[in-house]
Amino acid sequence: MRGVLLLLAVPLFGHDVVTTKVTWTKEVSRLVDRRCATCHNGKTSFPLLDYAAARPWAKAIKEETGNRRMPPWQAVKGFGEFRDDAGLTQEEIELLSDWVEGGAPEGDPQWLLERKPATRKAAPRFGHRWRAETGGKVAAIRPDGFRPGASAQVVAELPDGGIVPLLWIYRFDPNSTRTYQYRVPVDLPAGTAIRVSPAEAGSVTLFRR
Amino acid sequence: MGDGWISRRNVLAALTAVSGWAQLPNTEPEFVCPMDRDVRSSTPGKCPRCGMKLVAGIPETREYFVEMKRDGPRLALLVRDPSSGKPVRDFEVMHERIFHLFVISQDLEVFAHVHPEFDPASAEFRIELQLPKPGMYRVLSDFYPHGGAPQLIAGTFMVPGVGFRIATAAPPPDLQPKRGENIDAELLLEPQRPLAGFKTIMFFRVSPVDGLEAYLGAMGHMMAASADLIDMMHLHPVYVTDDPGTAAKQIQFNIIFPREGMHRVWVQFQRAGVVNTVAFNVPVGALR
Ligand code: HEC
Ligand SMILES: [Zn+2]
Repeated sequence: MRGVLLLLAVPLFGHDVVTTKVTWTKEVSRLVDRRCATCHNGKTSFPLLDYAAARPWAKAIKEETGNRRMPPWQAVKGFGEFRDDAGLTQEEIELLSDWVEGGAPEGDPQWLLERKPATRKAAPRFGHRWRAETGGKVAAIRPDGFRPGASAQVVAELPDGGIVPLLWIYRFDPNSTRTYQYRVPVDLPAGTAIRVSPAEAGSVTLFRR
Repeated sequence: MGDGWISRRNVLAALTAVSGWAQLPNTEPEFVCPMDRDVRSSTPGKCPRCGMKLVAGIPETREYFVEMKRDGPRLALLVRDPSSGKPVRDFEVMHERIFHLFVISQDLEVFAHVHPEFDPASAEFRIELQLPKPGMYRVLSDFYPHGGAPQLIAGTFMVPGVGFRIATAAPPPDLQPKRGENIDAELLLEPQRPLAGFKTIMFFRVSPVDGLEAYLGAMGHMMAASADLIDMMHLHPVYVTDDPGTAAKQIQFNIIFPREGMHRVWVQFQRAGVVNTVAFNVPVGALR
């Protein structure tokens, strides 16, 4: 029981000015494993897997995530609900900027988990288009012919007057475009109109399966 | 390290272990406020800022699903567990409520911080909101599911009507002092011109101070939203101090705006039982 009376040792972070409690070994490595490691593994893209590799990128990490360029998901959260949503939450963005602005400390190496970076899942394929004349459940949506850099909201205008958010693309990047699969298929009756605003941003294709 | 360390670690971890919180390997537990993640302690206890029980470990990011249904003024929200897909019925109290809902209209004119009622039969949270203006409304659901970590889940609903059109607001800067129901609030920014990606300190000089009190467990609540309503940040004060030389309290919030552009910032303070909501428009620049 001797240990009960001992005070905890406070880990030291070298001599950089560190003004945050967020550390690489505790929070950031776990976030990177979950959100970035499918690409930043040294194969698909440059590695961010350990502190030595990630630290020089700290400022860029803050910039890219704060401006929502990384991860390259492009769909605004909470506007249509998608499977395997790769977008960062507001809190994850805050965590990364707190870490970088606070001096990007490493933290105690003991805090690292056994690394199990997420691996990339094969994207499901969809080939059957949804059509307004027949209506039915929409399983997925794909931006088509979007202008590079365009942002737009896509909504469904139902015959009964209801309006359903389908997809909000923020700064379209053709190099990392994808088909977004709904968590729960969206039922859109015959006669539903699909509206992109602003209309000149581009168009979308909806899939039944 | 002797056995004493290990047993202490295990005992403390067991005392405070909550699923949804990853325990750290090979180390003494560190206790974190589930709400104010920068509040840390080597011992269990309560957060000095908001009173919540500190939890050992770090929160696992698992985003819960919030399904929204609108029927006229009635809004219903159902929370689902991302692993099981089942409706969640068990919530922790956070700032005196189990559900805080923020609703913002696309023109940034409507701001509501409300507390929908839980209906045990359906597991839905329900509230009536009179929203006469057609357009897009963004919502933020703030709740703490039992067995998970606190959630801030963004959502969107549309209010149809004549002239429905989705549009982004472009309000002018507005840093003028504001008069609420029974307080005056002045905003001071440090730096004066906030920069995206860098820390901004927002001091609210609030007066009069007699009767100034906590509202829902905190001396202030802030919602900061980018004008396009993509970024929605919910914060609480880090410090409340007497303002030197004036008869005001200085209530400090720290924020890092992620992107440049106009932001609308709503703050709520309570005095003598009256909730004051005032808003400012803060332009955020970028370093180039
Ligand atoms: C889907 C794949 C993918 C994911 C996931 C991803 N990235 Fe990237 N990232 C890229 C690609 C591709 C580039 C372009 C550079 C290259 O070709 O290697 C890049 C570039 C970057 C850059 C450099 C930008 C510059 O200055 O040129 C940073 C920093 C970055 N990513 C951070 C992150 C972070 C942090 C995460 C996780 C939160 C993340 N990325 C997730 C694919 C990805
Ligand atoms: Zn707290």
